[in-house]
Amino acid sequence: MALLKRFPKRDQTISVYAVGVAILFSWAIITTFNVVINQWGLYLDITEIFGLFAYIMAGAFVESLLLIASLLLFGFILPQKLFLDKFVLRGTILTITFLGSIMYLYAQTTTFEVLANINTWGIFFAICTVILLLLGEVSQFVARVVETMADRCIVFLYIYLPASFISYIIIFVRNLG
Amino acid sequence: MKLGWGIFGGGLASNVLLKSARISKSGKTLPNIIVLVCDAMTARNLSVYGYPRKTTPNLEKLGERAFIYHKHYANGNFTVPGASSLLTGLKPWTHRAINHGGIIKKEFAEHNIFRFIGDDYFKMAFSQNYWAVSLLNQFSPDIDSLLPMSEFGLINGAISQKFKDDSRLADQALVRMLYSGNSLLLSFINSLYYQSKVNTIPSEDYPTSLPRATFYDSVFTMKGLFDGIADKILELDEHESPFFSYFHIYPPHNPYTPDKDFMGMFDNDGYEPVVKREHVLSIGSSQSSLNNERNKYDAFLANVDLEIGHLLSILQEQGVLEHTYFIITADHGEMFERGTNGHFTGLLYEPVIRIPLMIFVPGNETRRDFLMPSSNIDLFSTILNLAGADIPASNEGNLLLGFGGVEDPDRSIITMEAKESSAFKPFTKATYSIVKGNYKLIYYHGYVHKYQDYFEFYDLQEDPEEIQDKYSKQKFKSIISDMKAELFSAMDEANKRIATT
Repeated sequence: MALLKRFPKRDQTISVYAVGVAILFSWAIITTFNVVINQWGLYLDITEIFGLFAYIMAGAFVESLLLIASLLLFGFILPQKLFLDKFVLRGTILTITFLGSIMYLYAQTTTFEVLANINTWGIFFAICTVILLLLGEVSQFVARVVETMADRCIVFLYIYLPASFISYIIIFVRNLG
Repeated sequence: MKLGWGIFGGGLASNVLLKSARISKSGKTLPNIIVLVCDAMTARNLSVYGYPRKTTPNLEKLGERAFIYHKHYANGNFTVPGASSLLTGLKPWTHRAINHGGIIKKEFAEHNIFRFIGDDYFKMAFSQNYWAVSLLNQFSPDIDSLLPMSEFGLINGAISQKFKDDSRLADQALVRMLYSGNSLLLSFINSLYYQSKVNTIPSEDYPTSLPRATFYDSVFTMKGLFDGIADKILELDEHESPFFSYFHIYPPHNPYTPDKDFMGMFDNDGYEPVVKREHVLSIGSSQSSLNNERNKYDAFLANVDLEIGHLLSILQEQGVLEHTYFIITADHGEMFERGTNGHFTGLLYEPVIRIPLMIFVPGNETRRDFLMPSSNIDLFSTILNLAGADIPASNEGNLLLGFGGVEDPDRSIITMEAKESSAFKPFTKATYSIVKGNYKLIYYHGYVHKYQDYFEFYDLQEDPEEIQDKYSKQKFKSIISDMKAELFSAMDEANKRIATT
């Protein structure tokens, strides 16, 4: 039971998870639509395009689990006052700045140059995170906005998680041989 | 055992003999056939084809006992259509692998060289180019050994055949997710992991960076690549049965990363390429940037040349070449002019479509030069002929000269580029090149401004650099009219075919 106290409550976990799901799945869908319009639509039929979407949605689901698992691990390791006590606020901010900074990195360069730009990325991520965490501490308004946003993101779970489930079925069927 | 080449259906000179040929499962005596495709190798930058820089001293020397084709063309200006035509013997508008990442139309997936060469041969294929791997995956039921991309590399990348029954789609999805950033987190983790791993590999021969193929994790060394290929060939040659192997290597494709002995070897050597006016469809590279890229490319070519020389000397020493046809060609060329470097372009000038073709024939000790235009779809029928296999009537190429082909001054070679058109519909945006004898007509369709429908015409004999567009010259009106009629007729036929399927 003592160990369980090192984890946030279920509804807190779901709120933060929902933020990650909303960002990761939306990014995957938007960037993939771009490929469908410019590439896949030219040489793949509709069943193949759905098949590719299935793999990408399945990947996004794995990513979302990795992300929430990392945040739960942080909560477990770090002193309770530093992270767990304000898990929704700080978990949401970390999710947004971490994924947002990767988006920023990809806007500047390609995945082929990630390591070469890792310092710039790290500085950008750290500054954004510190600023937002401080704002969340000093401003009740900012804290409320972040927590409300996390709460509203739960609606994405009702869309994306069933989509992931369907994607896994599609992948399974395609690999039945 | 000494056998005349006629036995192999090639109609070759009878004084050229084939020693120790292989006995197939069905008891036929057959030669081995090796195809080495060097990605993005333009004939225009090879000294063996007259380039002023000494980029290929080894090929020049080796060429003294090879069949050399001087007007050999790729059927597309990038890997997908280029390699597809070579492997199917079909023109791009037939096989429809015309898009970046595209594949061969399903009904033609069985129309591949591995199937038609038959079961007498052990068939092996390898590619360092991911887009060619996608094509080979389509042919995998007909290939006995399809080597992974990382076979001769330094690390095993993330792309693999985890999803055996859906590998083509799964691989395409993985590429998008991991390398193109469609999966935000997975691509970030994958990039960090593999790029860190690559950084730990000792690379004293490569001061700037190791050569790599399509992805950042597909790193290799030139020596490792060619030694690996040599070992693989020697291994195949230990068996009694004949083999057909297709090696599609990435060098000299961009990034141009020669080893330290070649790096910078052409910088400041005084060579000045012909400066050509920037094309409207170019990517707008400055002349100094083009020259800089050309220097790097040429140095990388020299490195490839050295390694091909080593490879061939090993095969010669081990006696493999006594019963093996060794074919060197490319899938497309590369250009450094008119504001464009590389080959991701709508342009079809000579550097991006004229490619090398050198064939080392067992027992042959003399050089033979062929000046009539030919193209990579001709390799399909020629290889089948050498293998004693039936050539399907649906094949769209001819036998190469020297292997039973006959000189046909009226023959046209058509190359096309339509990566932004649908593979399922008539082409809406494309460039076509038709070469007939010394003349070349280029047709642009569906691009901006005047390139909505625009022609250029060159006399390649008088103007090999394609500087003087003679489309409006009265003198050429008749030949231009004939070439246009031929091109439009072929296009109409292709479009009708796509409309009815």
